[in-house]
Amino acid sequence: MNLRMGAFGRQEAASAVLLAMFFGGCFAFDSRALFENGNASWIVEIVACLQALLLFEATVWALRVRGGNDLSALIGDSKLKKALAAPLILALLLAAMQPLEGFLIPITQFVFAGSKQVTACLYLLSCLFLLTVLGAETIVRTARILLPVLLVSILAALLSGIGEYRLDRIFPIPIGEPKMLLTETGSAQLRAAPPLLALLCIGEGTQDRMAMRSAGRIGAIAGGLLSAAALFALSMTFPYTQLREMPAPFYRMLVEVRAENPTLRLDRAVLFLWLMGAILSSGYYIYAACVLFAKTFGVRDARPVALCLSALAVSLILVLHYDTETTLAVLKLLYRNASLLIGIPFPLILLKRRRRKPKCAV
Amino acid sequence: MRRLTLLLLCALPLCGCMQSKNIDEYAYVLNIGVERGTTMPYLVTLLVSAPGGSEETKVENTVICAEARSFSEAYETLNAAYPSRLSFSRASLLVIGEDLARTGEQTAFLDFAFGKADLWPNLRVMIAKDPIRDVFEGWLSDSDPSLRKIKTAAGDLRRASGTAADTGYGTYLEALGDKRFDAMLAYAGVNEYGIEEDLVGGEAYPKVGGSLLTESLIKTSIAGSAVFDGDRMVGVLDGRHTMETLMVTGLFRRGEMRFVLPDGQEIGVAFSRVHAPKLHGEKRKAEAEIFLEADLLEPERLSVESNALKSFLEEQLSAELSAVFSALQRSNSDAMGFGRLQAKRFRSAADWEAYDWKADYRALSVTFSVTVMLSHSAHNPETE
Amino acid sequence: MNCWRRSPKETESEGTPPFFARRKARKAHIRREEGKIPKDLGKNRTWLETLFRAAVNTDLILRPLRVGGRVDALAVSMNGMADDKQIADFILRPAFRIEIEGVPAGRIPAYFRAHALAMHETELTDERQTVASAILEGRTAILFDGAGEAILCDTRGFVSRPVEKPENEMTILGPKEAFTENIRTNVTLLRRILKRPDFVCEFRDAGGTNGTKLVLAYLDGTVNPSLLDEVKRRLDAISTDMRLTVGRVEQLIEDYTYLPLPQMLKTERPDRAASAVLDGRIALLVEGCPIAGVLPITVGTLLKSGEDLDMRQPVGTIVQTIRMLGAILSTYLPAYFLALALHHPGQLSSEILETVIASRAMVFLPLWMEMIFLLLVFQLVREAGLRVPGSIGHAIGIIGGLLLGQAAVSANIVSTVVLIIVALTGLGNFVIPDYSAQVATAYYRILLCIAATLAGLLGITVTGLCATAIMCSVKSFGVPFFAPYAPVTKHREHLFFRTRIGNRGGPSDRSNPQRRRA
Repeated sequence: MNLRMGAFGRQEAASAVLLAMFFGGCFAFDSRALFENGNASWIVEIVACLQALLLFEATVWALRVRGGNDLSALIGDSKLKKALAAPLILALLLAAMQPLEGFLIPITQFVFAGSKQVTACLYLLSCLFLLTVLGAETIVRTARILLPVLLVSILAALLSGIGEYRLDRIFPIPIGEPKMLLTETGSAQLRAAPPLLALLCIGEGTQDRMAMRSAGRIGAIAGGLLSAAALFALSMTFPYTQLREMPAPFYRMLVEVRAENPTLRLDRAVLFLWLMGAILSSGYYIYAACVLFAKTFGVRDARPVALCLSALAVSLILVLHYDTETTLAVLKLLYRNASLLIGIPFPLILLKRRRRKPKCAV
Repeated sequence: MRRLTLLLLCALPLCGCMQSKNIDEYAYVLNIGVERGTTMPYLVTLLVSAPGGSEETKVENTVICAEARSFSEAYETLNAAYPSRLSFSRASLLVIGEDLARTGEQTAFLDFAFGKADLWPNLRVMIAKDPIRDVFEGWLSDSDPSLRKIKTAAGDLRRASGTAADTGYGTYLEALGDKRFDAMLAYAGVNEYGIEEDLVGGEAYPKVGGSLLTESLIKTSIAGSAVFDGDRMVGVLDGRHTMETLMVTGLFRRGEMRFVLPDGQEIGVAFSRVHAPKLHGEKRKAEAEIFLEADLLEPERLSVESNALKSFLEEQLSAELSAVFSALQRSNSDAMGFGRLQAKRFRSAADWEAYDWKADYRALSVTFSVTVMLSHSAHNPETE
Repeated sequence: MNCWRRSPKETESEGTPPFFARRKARKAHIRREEGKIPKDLGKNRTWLETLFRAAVNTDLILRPLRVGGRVDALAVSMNGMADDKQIADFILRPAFRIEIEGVPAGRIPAYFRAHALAMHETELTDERQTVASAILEGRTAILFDGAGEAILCDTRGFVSRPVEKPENEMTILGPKEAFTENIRTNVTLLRRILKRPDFVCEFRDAGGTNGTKLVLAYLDGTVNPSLLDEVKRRLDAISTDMRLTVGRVEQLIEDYTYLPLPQMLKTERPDRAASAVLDGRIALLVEGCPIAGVLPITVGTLLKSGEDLDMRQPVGTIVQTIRMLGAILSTYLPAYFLALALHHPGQLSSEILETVIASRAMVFLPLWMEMIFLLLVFQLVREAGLRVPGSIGHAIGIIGGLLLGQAAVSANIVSTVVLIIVALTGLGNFVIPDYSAQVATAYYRILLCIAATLAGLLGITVTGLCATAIMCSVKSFGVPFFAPYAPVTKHREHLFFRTRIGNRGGPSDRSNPQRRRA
């Protein structure tokens, strides 16, 4: 099989998980839903990350018990199990769309005002093609290389706005509505769980299960904390009423908080630096989905699948932009029920017992 | 497969390129002004920097105007009339005419403008008492410092003196969209104007800023602030009252005030913020604690005991703050931002949104407590 | 069983070989016999005359002699390649004086070698091909009548360039020796630095008919054995008639043909090659090439200079940081400026906008064309400067840089701001120590400019990410290009900061050598 998996270490895998966790968390597809009920997004993010981590730990434990290095070892080869992989692939695809869609708005509305979405999408698609065809090793290594630069830019963005943060903006905190918080945490699973799910899909490339577990833990905790911190900073920068109407709020934070610097404006350079992280995250998800697909359905070459899934993800983003109402309704439905997409197949996969081979006479 | 990928990589970017224009084909709008027109609803005035001009600067600053029904109409008209294409990407100041702001009609215009033009989202916003064309003309100069430097100097002075609000469009939008506070914008006029209709009715302290470096006949100055109730301008605060309002909002950094002591002696005091004010309270009752460091301007001339002076300043400031608050309350403007205090009481967004804060604001009673830490060191503004 | 498909080994084990296997074995035997030196001196003479086209090729010297007044012999050498004085003093003179009475004809070569030849390096061979190669190398072959063996004497005495200063890799604090075209001298230069018994210089044939020699220099017991085996396997696969240099050998054994970046470090400095060998890497020397190839390499190897470690640590860190920033800045500055000027003018301050607008007042070329034109002109000047003799080369650089630039500005072809950016870029490009990397970066810069013209910062982002991803996927002889940063290996080397020199033993972890630093 030509899966282009390669081999990679703990730090590289953790970097990919961290970036995916951060860009999924901060460039959410439906920011209106994120701030619909006040400024609870940062609390929700932490809880969702912990939930995802629990699910990940359970899966790694199941892998240790049953033997195997990745999710496909648990899924097996019967039709029922193949059907279980489908919602996971869909979840990964939706997760891949999220950061790209989050960036398409600032690119087409603020940076290249009046430009066509399709043109910007084609540029992103070309990069996605390359990343997914080059495979897991390349994606995680690129993530490791870019991580310091991205972290510095994110932290600089968070720290430079510190003078403008007002704690009173985070009120009202909807802690009086636990039911609503639970629902939001469920929706947030599509932001928190896919990075770890993707790691489970490409687990074969890591040194061993322990390295995979360690990478998942480090990446999820660091990524979750970073995205929660960013969402908290966002909540202290804008009141939630503004946030739920605001496209790409994390970018707006760069330009709306502080007075313009008359000498040098770096907001767009930073935006496009972050775009690299978003494309990498999307590539990471798409490649993981493609590996899951290839292993489950016995496709020998992962590259055509990678090309198809990349094109599908970008096409769906375009459809979302051109046919907003219908697609948005469908996608919102999927996003709001994200917990079901991941929550139903996983227990079924984990609860499955290993079939004993009938003893045959020698 | 490799060839296919290579082909795709090469072919995809060729499918389209982003529209671009050479840097020198644009004229850059530096300031945007909007006020009531005579024949149409809006008069849009732009201060434009374009290639051309003298041998030395090679850049010419001009003021252009057009009347229109909307921003896009004004944009098209001005673009058609002007030889270069207008770019709003370097605009740093938005000036709204007082006549328009008093009616709140600027909101619809601005919403559209910010959706379409490539504007820096947090450009400074200002209210102009006089025709905006005059305000812009007052900034133009043929001397060496560029317009940007003049504006920066004016902004710095404004921030340093605390006599005018330094509000960005983001804050203005926040005030409109969220009911936690009302906007307070800098108030500009031409030729050494004084504020005649201060809400509190105190003595006016117009501060001149921005006309320092210009050589034009018209001098634009900024002093005091226009205060809003929602999107409607309801009054003006002079420099001193602006300073006091900023002390409550937490945006005050430093500024100078003059006081007449009970014995008739006049003193100058430079105040600076020690830390952010503390606001606490309930639904209709609030307390505001303000902490300031006071530096006497001419300590050698002063014959009053420190403690007595400290008490005097604290009492005087508290009284003045109460007066300013009463004036703002009468105008239904929560420029001091007591709505922020109210938001903390809620545990649900829906409850907060359903709550009519302004109804309670009219009945709000606030106790101001000012703590002054007095310092007798000679104050030297040069070192600030 | 179908006998047509059986291997010869299989058939031999079964006893009677089938017809085709026997025929094959017979042919192989004939070929082997044909390669042996015949005992008849006349036949040997004819063979050599035919092989070297002696009728027209007057370089071949066939000197007949009678050894000890009894046996006819032939001393064969190549004029100019062999030292005449050595042949006369140490071969011919003893040959006439030696007593060989009673020595059987077949043992004369061994006897002659043991009792007459006062030479250090001699060799007995019965292979024709070895004799031919030795003659071509400058050695002298002595063939005896009645003996199926020849003596090869090392009489190489051709003229070669002495060891000189490096021309392209200048250092202030480092040694001032450079490799020469003589592979023996180059090995000596390395051996003078690496005085260790485990330092191996493995001489190999480069492959093909030309018989070029190459040397694999490494530390036995330190170098990764699988890396060494892989390099040897790839070198064995070379079969070309092309004249070989390090650059050509690199392209014949590398993995990524279309990658603009080099996959082997080429250095003219023995100290740099020796440092690499000490670090567990392999140095490759090719006969006739004054450059050593070092493999495997990483990004850090390309961006570090040989004398970084000679400087004090704080100064070294500053120099290294400046070099890195210069390299990054010079790569991205023209494209970034183009992106801002064409797509995002709002990101430039009003003063810069005014300056750029003023400088472009009369320029007729569009900005993107102006930038790419100037970048190409810069490459033109650089190439021209390289190809002409030293002093004229410097003059071309000055003319290109100053006069052409000034003239272009005066003629309103380019603007001053763009000229400054290209000049800065050019300066920054020179801080990249490796020449191949410099050239690759120069053309990558033009690609970035095209991307910036098409889609501003989006184009730069996409191109930059693709380039980074490609570099992350590349391996130089199995070692990832971004090691030790991705993958992270035990011993980190900083691109920006120079680490303290401690008593470090063993090579770094980069190429997974056998003996690593503790």
